[in-house]
Amino acid sequence: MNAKERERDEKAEHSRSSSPQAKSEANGAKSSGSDFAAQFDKALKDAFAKAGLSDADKELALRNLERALILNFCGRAYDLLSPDAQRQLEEKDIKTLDEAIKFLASALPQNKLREVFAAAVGEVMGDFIEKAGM
Amino acid sequence: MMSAMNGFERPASETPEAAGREKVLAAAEFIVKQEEERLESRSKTFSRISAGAFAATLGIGGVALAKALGAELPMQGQETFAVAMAGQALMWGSKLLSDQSRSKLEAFVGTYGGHRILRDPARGGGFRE
Repeated sequence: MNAKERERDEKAEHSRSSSPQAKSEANGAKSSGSDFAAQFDKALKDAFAKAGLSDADKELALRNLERALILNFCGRAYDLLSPDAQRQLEEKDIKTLDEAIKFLASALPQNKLREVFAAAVGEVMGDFIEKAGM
Repeated sequence: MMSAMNGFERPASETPEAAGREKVLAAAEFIVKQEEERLESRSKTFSRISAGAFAATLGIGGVALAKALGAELPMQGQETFAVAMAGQALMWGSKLLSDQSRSKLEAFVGTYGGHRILRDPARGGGFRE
């Protein structure tokens, strides 16, 4: 184990033992979706801070990630549409990505939307974390 | 000087601090361009609109999508739709993620979020505190 890995492990261990989440874990409490969202949010902020990103840099990176996530979602959701729904989408005079997302969100059941969104998150965030060296 | 890594090119900087910053920004830019190209090759509609802006942090599409997903909208302190939604999506769909994706995300949250993520076999390896 090199010095950088040791530093990470020590920092993670310290945070775990003193975090509110660790206390709730000890109480056997399960996390909710918003808890995990908050953890992910914190991890991303900490990673950006460690990389020395300014507020403007951070904004730019987040906007790009947001856009990539939405584009990946759209591609996956489009592939799940029936041929008829794909034809309807092509024939509509859709001018913005916002309108396309709205169409896709109304065209698929919630369980499928969640599957597609989770897969998009896994691919986009996983790819970003790897390429950013985080 | 540029170095290539799996098709991802990034500039080489003189200081570790600058290199870290540039690597993060280049990675985010690369990811979005990659997704734009993929989507444009899929459909005429997306080819036409993907170059346009995704209106605001929470556009009409974002709100419609969040509602259709049954998601809580971003809370105070969670700066963007994508980050808040990503956290929720991980809860809903962790068992649907590939092992490789799940490992990367678990390691990331564990390292930078300072919180241990455990696997729950009863939920297909999903996230649990």
